[in-house]
Amino acid sequence: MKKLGEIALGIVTGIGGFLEAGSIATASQAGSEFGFQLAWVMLLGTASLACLMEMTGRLAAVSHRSYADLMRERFGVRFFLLPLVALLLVSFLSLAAEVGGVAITLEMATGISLRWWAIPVALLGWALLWRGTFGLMEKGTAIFGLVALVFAVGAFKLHPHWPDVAKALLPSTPSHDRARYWYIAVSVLGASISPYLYVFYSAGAIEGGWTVDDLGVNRMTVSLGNIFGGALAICVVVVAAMVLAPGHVKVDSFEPISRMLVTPLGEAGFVLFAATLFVTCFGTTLEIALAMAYLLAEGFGWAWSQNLRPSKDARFSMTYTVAILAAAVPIVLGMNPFALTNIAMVLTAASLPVTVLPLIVLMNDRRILYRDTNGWMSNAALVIISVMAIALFVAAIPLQVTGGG
Amino acid sequence: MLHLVHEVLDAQLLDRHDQKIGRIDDLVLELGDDGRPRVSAVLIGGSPRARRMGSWIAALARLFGLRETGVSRVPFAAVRRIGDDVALDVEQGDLSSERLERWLREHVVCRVPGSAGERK
Amino acid sequence: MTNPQVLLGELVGRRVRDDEGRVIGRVLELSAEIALREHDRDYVVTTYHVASFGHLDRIAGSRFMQQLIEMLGPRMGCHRYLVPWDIMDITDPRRPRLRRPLDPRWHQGPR
Repeated sequence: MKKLGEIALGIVTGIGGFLEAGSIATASQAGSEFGFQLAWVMLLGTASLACLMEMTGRLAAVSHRSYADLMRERFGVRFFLLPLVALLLVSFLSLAAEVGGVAITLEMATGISLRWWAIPVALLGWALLWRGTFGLMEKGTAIFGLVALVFAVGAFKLHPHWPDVAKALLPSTPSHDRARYWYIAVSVLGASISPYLYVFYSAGAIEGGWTVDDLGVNRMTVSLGNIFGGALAICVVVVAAMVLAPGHVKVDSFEPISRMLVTPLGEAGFVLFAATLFVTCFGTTLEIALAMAYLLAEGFGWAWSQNLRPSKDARFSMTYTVAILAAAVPIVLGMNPFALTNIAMVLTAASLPVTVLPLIVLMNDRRILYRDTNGWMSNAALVIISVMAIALFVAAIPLQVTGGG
Repeated sequence: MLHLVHEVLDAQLLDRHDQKIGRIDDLVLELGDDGRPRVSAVLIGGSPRARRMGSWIAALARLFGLRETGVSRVPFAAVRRIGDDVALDVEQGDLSSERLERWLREHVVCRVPGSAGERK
Repeated sequence: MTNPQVLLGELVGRRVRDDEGRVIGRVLELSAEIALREHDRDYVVTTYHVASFGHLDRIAGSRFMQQLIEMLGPRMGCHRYLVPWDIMDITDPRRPRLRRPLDPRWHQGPR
């Protein structure tokens, strides 16, 4: 019964947790410029993320050590610097983008500029982290995240030609604007395969005291959660393709996206969109700030747990405090959250090799995983993801230059 | 048989009360009279860590004022247990490598409401 | 306290040369065991694990690459030597070297 509850929580987390500023922005760009055609990239990203989360969850359940912990211990402090710096950088940019996402919904609701909202949003997020426990946060974001289901409702009400959507799940190359197409593909992958997620997920497995008995739960939550989350993200592509693409609306801010759901759902669509963006960005803000604290604390061996009072893990709690407050700064200074999101997603994609490649060694080490090392299927998946990660590393920056603007 | 790189270097350290107190940033080997190396101490702190990250990181760390005073050198005889973690027979409060933790706790964290007591 | 001291972090990963100055591999691991003395229990080094990565040595600088290459196995042309403690001279940890020629009996063979 407890396990069923955990799986249910995992699925609910997947529904709301998958969508956030990055995925909503990139999915809308994909839909508005290329119709359904980029849906396959969303599928690829979701499947990759599911594999990586399953592996880091398995690592934590079997060895009782988190991803960051093992990266430091197995590869030494010198190598650890690489994923550490890359993760802190892209996580910080994403964090700022999420704070911006929350602030923009408040601007939509009140008319007061988002620059005024950044600090209050950061302070509210910080207060929740300071006072709340891991379980409370996890359940809170999961349940409120269900509002994201409006995208599914919206997509169905628009009556897309579903066989066309299904056809788009197979890879295809564009007939026009190649550079732009691949640029958006890279951003979509960066938005779906977020490294902070597996740092957070494996630390969560430690917080939850997972053991080998939880491997089944791990597999179920990760696959079902990502199926639902990925499907929802494809619904965003569908809505953008049906609503924005015919009018050739160029998506370069959250403004056009915010009216997207008005077509299928009426004025309520605007409110529901704002609520979705608010809740998912806010939940992700908390997750990224915590992931950064987990990463540093585990890597350097500080006391850490979201279930401890801050006085018991001062460095850990100061890390998320500084991160979340600092993330408000670019927004206060007037950086456009949408542009920030795009840069964060492309850099995330470029950073993937340093977080993915080490898994090849970790997941095949019998001294860590005993009987639960990767089978040939997991290894094949990991090799494919690694090759993709290297390709993203090579291509991301040139594509930002040629297809970004 | 103990594998110093695999099992000891970079391992999580615990104090007398099983609190986390950093990681083994370096190990000191002392060459005996016969030339045989013996593990003599554990180093914890920013500057041994920076030294292992490479020469220019170490130079950068010195430039930004990372000093040897923040380093703890614990004799290997104080090791209580070696497993997934390495447990030492020391008090967190006695380690200079934990000064930042104590300073933050006393001067920042404890001045903010809700920082102590039990979590609900 | 006048005895020379060496930092493990300085030694790990360094290229090891034999008595004639040829590179035989990199320091990968040190095995230690308890030596019971009169008063305290000391861990003393017994063996150095030196890994040769063949023509991949140039990219075997980090512990991640070393483990990756070892994992891929003997096909990559890598093998290990277990060198007894008294053969290895680590007084300069940046330039570890053997005091005697490499003994084929130390060869670990393909794992």
